[in-house]
Amino acid sequence: MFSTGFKYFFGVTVLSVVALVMSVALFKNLALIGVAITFLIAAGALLTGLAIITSDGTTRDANVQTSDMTTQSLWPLVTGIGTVFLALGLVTSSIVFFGGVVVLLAALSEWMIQAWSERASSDASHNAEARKRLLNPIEFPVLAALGLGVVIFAFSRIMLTVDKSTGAVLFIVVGTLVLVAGTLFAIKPNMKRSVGAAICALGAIGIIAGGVASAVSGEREELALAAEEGHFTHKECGPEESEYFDKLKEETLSLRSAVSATIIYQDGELIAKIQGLNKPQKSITVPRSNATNIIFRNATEGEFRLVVDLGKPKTEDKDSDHDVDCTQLIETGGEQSLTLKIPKSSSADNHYKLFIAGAEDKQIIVVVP
Amino acid sequence: MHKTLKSAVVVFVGSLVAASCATNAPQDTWQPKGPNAKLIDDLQQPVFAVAGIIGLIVAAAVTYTVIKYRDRGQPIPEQTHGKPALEITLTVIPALILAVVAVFTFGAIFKLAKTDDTEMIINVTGQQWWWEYDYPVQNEFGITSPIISSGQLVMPVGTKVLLRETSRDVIHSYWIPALNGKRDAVPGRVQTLRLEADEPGIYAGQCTEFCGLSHANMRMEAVALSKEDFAKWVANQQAPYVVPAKDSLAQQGETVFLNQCVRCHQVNGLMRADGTPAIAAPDENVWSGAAPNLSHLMSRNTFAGAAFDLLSKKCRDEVWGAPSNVVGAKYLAGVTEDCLNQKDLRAWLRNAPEMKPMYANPADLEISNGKYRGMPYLALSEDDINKLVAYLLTLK
Amino acid sequence: MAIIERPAPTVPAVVTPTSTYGVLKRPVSATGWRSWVFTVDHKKIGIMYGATAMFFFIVGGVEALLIRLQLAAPNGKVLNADLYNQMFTMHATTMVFLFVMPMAAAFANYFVPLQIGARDVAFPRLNAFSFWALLFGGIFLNLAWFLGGAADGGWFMYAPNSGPVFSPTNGVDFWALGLQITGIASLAGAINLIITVLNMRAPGMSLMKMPIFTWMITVVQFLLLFAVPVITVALFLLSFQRNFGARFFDVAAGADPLLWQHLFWIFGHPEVYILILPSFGIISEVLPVFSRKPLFGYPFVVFSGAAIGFVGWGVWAHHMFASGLGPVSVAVFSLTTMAIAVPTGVKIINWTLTMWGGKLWFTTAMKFAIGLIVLFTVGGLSGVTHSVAPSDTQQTDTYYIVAHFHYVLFGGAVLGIFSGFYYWWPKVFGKMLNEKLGSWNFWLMIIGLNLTFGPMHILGLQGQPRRMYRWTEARAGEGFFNLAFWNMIASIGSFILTTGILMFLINVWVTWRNPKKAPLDPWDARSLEWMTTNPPKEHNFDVIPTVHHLDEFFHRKYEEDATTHTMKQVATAEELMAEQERNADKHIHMPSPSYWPIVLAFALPIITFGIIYSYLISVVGGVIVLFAAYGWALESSTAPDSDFENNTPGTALAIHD
Repeated sequence: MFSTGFKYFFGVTVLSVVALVMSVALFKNLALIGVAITFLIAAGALLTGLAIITSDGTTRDANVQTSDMTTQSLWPLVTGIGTVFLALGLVTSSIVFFGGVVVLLAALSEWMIQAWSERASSDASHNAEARKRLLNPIEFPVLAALGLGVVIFAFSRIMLTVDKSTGAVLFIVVGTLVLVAGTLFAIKPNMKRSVGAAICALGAIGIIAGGVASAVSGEREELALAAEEGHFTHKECGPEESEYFDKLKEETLSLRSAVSATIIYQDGELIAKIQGLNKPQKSITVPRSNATNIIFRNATEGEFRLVVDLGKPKTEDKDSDHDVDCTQLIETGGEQSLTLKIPKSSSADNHYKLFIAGAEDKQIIVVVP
Repeated sequence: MHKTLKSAVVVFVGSLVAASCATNAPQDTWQPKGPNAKLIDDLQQPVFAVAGIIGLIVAAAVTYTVIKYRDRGQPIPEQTHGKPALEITLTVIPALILAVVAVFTFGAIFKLAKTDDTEMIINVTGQQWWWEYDYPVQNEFGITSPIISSGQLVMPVGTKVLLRETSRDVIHSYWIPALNGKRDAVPGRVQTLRLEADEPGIYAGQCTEFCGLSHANMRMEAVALSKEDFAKWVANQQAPYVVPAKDSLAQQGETVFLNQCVRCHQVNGLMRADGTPAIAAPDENVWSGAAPNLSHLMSRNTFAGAAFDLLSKKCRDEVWGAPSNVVGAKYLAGVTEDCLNQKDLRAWLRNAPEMKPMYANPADLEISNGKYRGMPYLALSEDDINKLVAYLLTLK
Repeated sequence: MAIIERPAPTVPAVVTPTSTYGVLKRPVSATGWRSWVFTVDHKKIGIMYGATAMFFFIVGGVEALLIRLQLAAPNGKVLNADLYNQMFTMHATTMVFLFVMPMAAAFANYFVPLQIGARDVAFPRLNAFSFWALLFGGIFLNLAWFLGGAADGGWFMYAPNSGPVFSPTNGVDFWALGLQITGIASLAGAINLIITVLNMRAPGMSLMKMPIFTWMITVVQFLLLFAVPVITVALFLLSFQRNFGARFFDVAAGADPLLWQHLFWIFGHPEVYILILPSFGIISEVLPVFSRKPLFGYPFVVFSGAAIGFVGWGVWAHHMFASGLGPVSVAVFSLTTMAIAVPTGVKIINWTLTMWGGKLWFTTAMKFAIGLIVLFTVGGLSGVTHSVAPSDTQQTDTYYIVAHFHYVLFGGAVLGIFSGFYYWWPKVFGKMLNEKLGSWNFWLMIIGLNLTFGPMHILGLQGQPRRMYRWTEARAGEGFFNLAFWNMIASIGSFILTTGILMFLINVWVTWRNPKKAPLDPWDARSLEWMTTNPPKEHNFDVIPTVHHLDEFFHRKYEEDATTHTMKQVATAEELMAEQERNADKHIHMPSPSYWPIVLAFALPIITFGIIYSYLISVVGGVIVLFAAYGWALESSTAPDSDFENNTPGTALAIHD
């Protein structure tokens, strides 16, 4: 029942588990050793399983008349490719190397099972069945995961490349196509296999080609910009345009339900509109220590920036600079939100205000009770 | 059943239900004291009546069927599978009733959501486990500098007040049943609720969104004052800080306050010995970043999130039981030394988490970066407590 | 499909399947504990579901009693705030996920295959896996009690109160991960039953000739199929927030905590129908049997069930009328909530009209069914008052809501379940339950439940909120009938209710010790499950019946007199049974027991345990999952001949007379 091969691989697995436990106990930082031993355990466990299931690849009856017809095999070729990747990876990058390892492992497992199954009995169809039973439970999930991964990856590249509105249209179009294809399959269950395969292949090629093309042409401008410049690290609150900070203006807002006040720059004056109060206000109240959203809307010709003066970070320190926060330069009719979180209440010698950059007289008092 | 018998049953059951209710329950949802709650009540009364009648009809029909068709040896009945015409009729009737209800419901929903004729706004901020009220500057009500309070919401009668609710930590819900339905205070959002009281009085409420350990102890009260009384209240809230008399117990209490309490609790106008204003730093000590502002503490009747009375039982009953024409004056009298609920206040200062469960055990605070949720145990000596109580009594 | 023939001997004789595929022999015991643990028989699994659900019913009941003890008087001292919050969270979680849902699964598992004339469900091993995943998930959920405290955020677990700062123990982690496991169980079960119903009905049984219980179960499985993924997503977000530092509900990171509420209630409202529809199905079986009349307006009941299934998806935000959705959304959800009352009302009308003109036999099962009609109506009508959104803003989160859903769930779902117990007990165990004790059981439960939940209407309308670990006399009002009085009555009622439920357990014990053998057809029943022995044979039917009528069994026993339209008996159940046995199928192949479902299910709590404590444990669980899934995939549905003592191929495998 327990074959030699099983005992051997089982031993290897148990020893590597022991090794892992010991290294967990001995080393603080497992890093490479941990990865290596974990791989060893996984490989050992897989081989143990295969050994016990195939009884070391032998059959009960030693006199089995194996069929002479060996089937065609893809695996020598794939093994070769894996080896090449392995070697290439050694001189280029580790990703290629690991890719080679995975391909090699997969090909060798397939090869091993195929070779065993061809000798399992004298009945070729039973042998094919045996191979399927052993490998399909692994093949199907892995292939499905790979396929899904490719589709998701390719599609996400496309969506990152096209601009936002094209993306929306594309999404609708692709969704419709999938629906149409699905409907077609559903109402014509007896459709020729080749037609179905052609539709799927077309879809796959479309998505992969699109993905490759997109990956080559790079992400759309604002994403590329955002990736290269963290513009919030260069926040500049002066009246002039900032090289980094004003690059990516977002002027569409979706947080209306969470807004405490709207600050409008209109007719040369800064006013606050507060929900519930009909008259425009010259001061707003912000609860202490609570993130509070306001919207700045520019209703004056020209580009303006709203700045919030958050007082001195330490009241005792008379010389320190005031903390400031600001919006970007907002063009006429544009809007931007700003979140205030002020931990200290305002007092006579520590008060906060909102103002237009470069025109400090246009201001609104921020009261923190 | 006869018609008269039926209506007799309805009247009987109705009066039975009415008689079996508590009288003067402070949070009764059937005793509206303002136009918003009245609007809801006018809607729910007929709906409950209709629902009750339908319930009685179903119960009567089932009872009748059960009695009439019990097995008395009759033969197995004809195996009929239903009468579609009857079915459809009986489906359409409830649908029509509901359609009528829907029309009135829609009207009420949009009326209650109206905010553009607001006369006064108050910001309401919830946190574990108390409510903070702040009154933005509104000159027409004499509010020339912002007022901040907690526990009791003070508002003028006959005024359309808009609460702008938000929260500093978890979701809470603001509910004064006599004035309106509830509205959740959701962190990151500003949500509105309209209150308006017809008569001066004190209206009880309770946080109704589960908000953690002391949810049960998170109460609130709305105090409606006549416009004149409200003006007096506003004036008192804006009155400057009164320094305790020199060498009094209260002055020693101020020192204790400056050493201990001011880490979280702000008293507007309080100065340190070196002449700088004492600014509390609850953001460094409390997870929500706020603790009740104690300026004019003794103008409120409750403390610790309205969980406990500042007034002794006798004085509290006097205020709550006062008729609407004098309740304002009684309330504005505030808490005097004779009326102070010494027992609870001292117990609170002695060991707050024991009176109201809070996350105040230093061992539990790793996850919140050492910040408390609620007031911790301060290990104050009895002597310090005496001084503090004397000092707090000066915060009129 | 369930019935997979044992491989015919086309395999070359030199290689047996055992030597090709491995060394493990299949478990084949027909008796002893192994016959239960490794079983794939839908009836045994159904009984295990029932026993598990009953156990958790008792657990949840004890939690409820502690809650009522705490609230009997002001400033209760029985539990502290922390423990109370855990108690009401776990009471709801246990009753919803570990009692009513599995109990419905118990009935569904046992009776759906019997009612549609099938020999098992479509995927017997998956069925066993569902059960074990539920059991292990339920145990995992409750382990938290012993490991630092159970979940304390309420069963709705609103964010951000469920976050690590606000709920620092591991309770919420156990809750979220435990529900993931029971969710897997529900999903697997749903897929299994849907495929069973769609593909394995007896010849002649069109969908509109399908017993109404099976119909309601089918609707429920579709609801589960679409609702469980939603809660799964929500729970993943919660787990990532707590265990991996994600910020889905963190306002400081720009999140909106209302996201959780929407996700939870999009699951949570269909869940209400998941809980109630099986009981609707049960009493729609019981009422016709004891009224000696077919269900009145069968197509209306079917389609109203399906309509509830659809409209149930469009009402979730009525749980959020106070959340600040804005008037337009509130109005829309108000309207849909009113709309769903109509199909529900249709059912009540149909049940009453089923009894109308009948010949009523008041067995305990029938009493529970009638009790459901009346008490569910109370809950339904208070539900309609919630659809009036402005009025709901006064009542939501008060005891009025507690009263409402306990009338719906206790007066509805639980009474239906008890009706099912009494109706089907002889079928499942071959013994009758005592009707006298049943009467005590019924009346004590009815009195107890009205005393417990009735006063809660008053408590809520007079302003007592839910989820408060203590209440104060200052808000209780005056007069003899103040809120203190009603709180006390509710607490007393809860103990009467408990006595009623104890009566059931006593009944089971008494009739187990001193059994009265059930006749073949004790109730003169109507549907196919009664057309076999009590309890049914492992292969259910000797002959798969061909169906010509709704209520096939009844129409085989009775025929209508063409002139007088009266029914006269033409055959007895015994005669029909004898005829079946004479013509019994010769070759019946039943699926074989398997080790893998329980092994795979056991690995799930190991993985989740590891997520909380150490990822190494999760790796162990993952490896077990991998191997169990592989073993499962490798074995065929039916064991090879060599695993059986009588190993002649092609014989009936598992007939034990």
